[in-house]
Amino acid sequence: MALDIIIPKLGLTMEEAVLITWNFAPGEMVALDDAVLVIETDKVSYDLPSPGEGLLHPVVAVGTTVKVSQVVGYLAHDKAELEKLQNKTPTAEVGVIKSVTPKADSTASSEKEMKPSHTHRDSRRIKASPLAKAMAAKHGLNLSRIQGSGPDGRIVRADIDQALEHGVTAAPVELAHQDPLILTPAAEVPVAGIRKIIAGNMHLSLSTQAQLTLHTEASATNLVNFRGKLNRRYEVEGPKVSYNAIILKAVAHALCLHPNLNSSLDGEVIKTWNQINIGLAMDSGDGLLVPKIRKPHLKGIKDISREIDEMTERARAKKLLPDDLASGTFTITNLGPWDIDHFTPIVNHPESAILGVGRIEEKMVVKNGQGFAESRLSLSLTIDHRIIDGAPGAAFLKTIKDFIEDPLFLLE
Amino acid sequence: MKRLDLVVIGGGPGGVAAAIRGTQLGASVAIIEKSLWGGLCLNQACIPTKFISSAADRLKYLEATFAYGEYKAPSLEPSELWKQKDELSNYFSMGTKGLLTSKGIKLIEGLGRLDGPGRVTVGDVQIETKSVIISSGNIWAAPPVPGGDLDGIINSSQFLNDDQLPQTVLLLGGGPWQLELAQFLVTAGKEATVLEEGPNILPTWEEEIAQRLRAIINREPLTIFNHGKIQGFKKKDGKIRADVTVRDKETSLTVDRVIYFGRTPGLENLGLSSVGLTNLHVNERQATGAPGVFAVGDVTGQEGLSHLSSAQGICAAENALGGETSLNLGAVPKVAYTNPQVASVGLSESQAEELGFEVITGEASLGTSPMAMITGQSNGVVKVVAEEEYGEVLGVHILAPMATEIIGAGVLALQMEATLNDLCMALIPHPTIGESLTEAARDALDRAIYQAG
Repeated sequence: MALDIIIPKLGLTMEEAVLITWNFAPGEMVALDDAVLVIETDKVSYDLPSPGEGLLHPVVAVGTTVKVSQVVGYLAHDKAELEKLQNKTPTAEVGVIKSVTPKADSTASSEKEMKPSHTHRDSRRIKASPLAKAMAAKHGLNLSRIQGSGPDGRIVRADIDQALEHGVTAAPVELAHQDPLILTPAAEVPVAGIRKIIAGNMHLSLSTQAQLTLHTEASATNLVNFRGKLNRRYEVEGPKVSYNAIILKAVAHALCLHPNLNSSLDGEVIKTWNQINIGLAMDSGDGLLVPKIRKPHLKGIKDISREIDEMTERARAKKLLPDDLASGTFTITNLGPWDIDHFTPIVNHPESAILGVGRIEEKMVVKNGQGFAESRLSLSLTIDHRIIDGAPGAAFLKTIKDFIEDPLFLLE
Repeated sequence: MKRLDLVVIGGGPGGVAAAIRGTQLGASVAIIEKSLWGGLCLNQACIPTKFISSAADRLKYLEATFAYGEYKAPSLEPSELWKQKDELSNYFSMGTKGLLTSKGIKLIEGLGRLDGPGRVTVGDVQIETKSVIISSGNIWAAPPVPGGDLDGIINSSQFLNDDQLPQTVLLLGGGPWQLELAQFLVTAGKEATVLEEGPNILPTWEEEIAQRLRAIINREPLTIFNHGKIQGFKKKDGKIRADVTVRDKETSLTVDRVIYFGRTPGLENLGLSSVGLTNLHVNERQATGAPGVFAVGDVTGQEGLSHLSSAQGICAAENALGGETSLNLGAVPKVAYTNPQVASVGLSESQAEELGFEVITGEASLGTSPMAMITGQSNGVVKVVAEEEYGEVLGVHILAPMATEIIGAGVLALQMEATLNDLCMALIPHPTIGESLTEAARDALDRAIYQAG
């Protein structure tokens, strides 16, 4: 019996995803847990591990929106079964096979020959010899990124050999020497996966909201002392409490006091949320991810700290699920580790505010005519001015500043 | 004369194409030819030999037609044939001059030679030029054996000058020109012997095709000796006695004429030393070792293919005028105007194997071709050589009537880097002999339609 390849439900909120790539050619042997395909929800890219071993028969084309639990392909036990499956359901267009080196016992080439060619017309026709096309398909090369050296810029065997040996570059370097005004990219990376999601979200945010950023500075002396005390207390059993955990707790309390900051504009309606779910921006290595800490106003700093550690670990291992990233109401982003003081964070749409945390730095402060050194923390708050005016935004930031300057008030 | 952009030495196929391509690119061009406009090809090789051999082919065609009724076979009358052959060559030679003149190219008759960098002289005339393309061809080389310069040992040009056909002829070498001429002589009622040094005729061609051709044409009065080497010649009763070894066994044969085809690049009198050259070796751009001096065709030592010379001429002209062109030497066709014809492009099966390809081949026998049967010429085969990984077509070899026409599809396939699938998907009209090419490609993929079993 053939195995079904099924789109999993990666979390409560997930209903559909887009099938981005098949990593194997039709008829190719796939092993258990091989990443057989990639789907993308509006939040994450996910490599689906193969449910078993078999010859691939994809039935859903790349670029298709698929539902949770939908069968998108089969793994045939043997060639006979594969043929039976192919007779029942036509093989879907798999596009360029990426990243996977074909195996010696692959039946892909003969299967491909049998398949009537679907002429996929690109808006920009790429001229390449039949051999060059066959080689590119086999090695997963994108012809649009290869410079052709044949007649009329036709891509020929020599160009593929070159690309396989030296990688893909966009334009011949010599041009740059000929004309200093011609820019030549050293590499061209298509915007896809997580980068595409980030690009879309950021542009959506700035193109729909009216964003205003407010800056302030808080004394960090008590914050530093408080964290020191907590970490001495948890020295043996952990966790190691981060500034982020304390600031997140402070923001949660501030949101309780300023519920208008915990809201979204939905069409003509401002929705103020019952829940407080604060996202913490993280660099996953591939790009920005914002996992959520849920109801931090009801949790202790110790628990919050543990949750942040867990999320950080999963982000690093690329194990975050769509639910981890869903349903945020506010976001914190901390660029302090890179010596940033103030910046203008971009609101994580459809939220309405984001707090940018800068570094803690010792500075000279003057109070009552007396100068003295003090640890200071930079804070930047971006608000959507369509629904939050400057004064309420500033009042919210002042509340955060007060909590940071005296974390004992968090007990209020 | 003001300084020119390009001077071409030699008015054969390479030089004519170079000169015309030069004017197309806006250059001021002069071309120098010592005697025969159109070169050896037009005056003493391709054109006149095809005129007489195609006449012989048409006679054979008629003979096959007699099976349908009562006719008397016309006999071949050499003097009339020779007259018409010369008229055709003269017509084309005149036409070449007219063509060049119509393009605004300056024609100069005489012996052109290099006279230092950027200078060419013809007699007393000095021409200043930015670049030079040498296309002066090669010269006859008599067999380098004792008695090789005796009367009666003639080159193919001398043969074409005389309409008195000799009764018995020995042809040195088993290449395409020798076989074509031998078949013509036999059709004209003469006897021909072909002596080939190698293990088979058409050395360096696809072995299987060459063997099949030999089996078809090696019939009295046409005799082919493989492993045959000429040792020397002697005069004997007004005839020539040729001493030969065949498979190391000494023997001799007495003939009226010996025809040789040996030629060597004519490097003397070109003034090469004036630009510091001792040879005309060229790179892929047809450039010699001297700046601004290019060379094309037989003078570079290539094997006497007119179509290659023309292509090199175009390539050289583009490069001489600042371009960057190079030829795909993997897609140069070879043709033999034998009966049946042979045409070949790319790698033979054994050459492909030596280069390390995982070779697959496919064949279509003309015995299954309706058009070959209809025209009574079903001796032959179309063979496709490809590599397994991508199905790239590496060679096409055809033994068939009109093979020299059909091979164009093979040339295009190689030039475009076609795969076997492309050949399989190409619709070739039915019924034709050419449709066997598609069938051969299908056979290579074990998908032949019209093969039993």
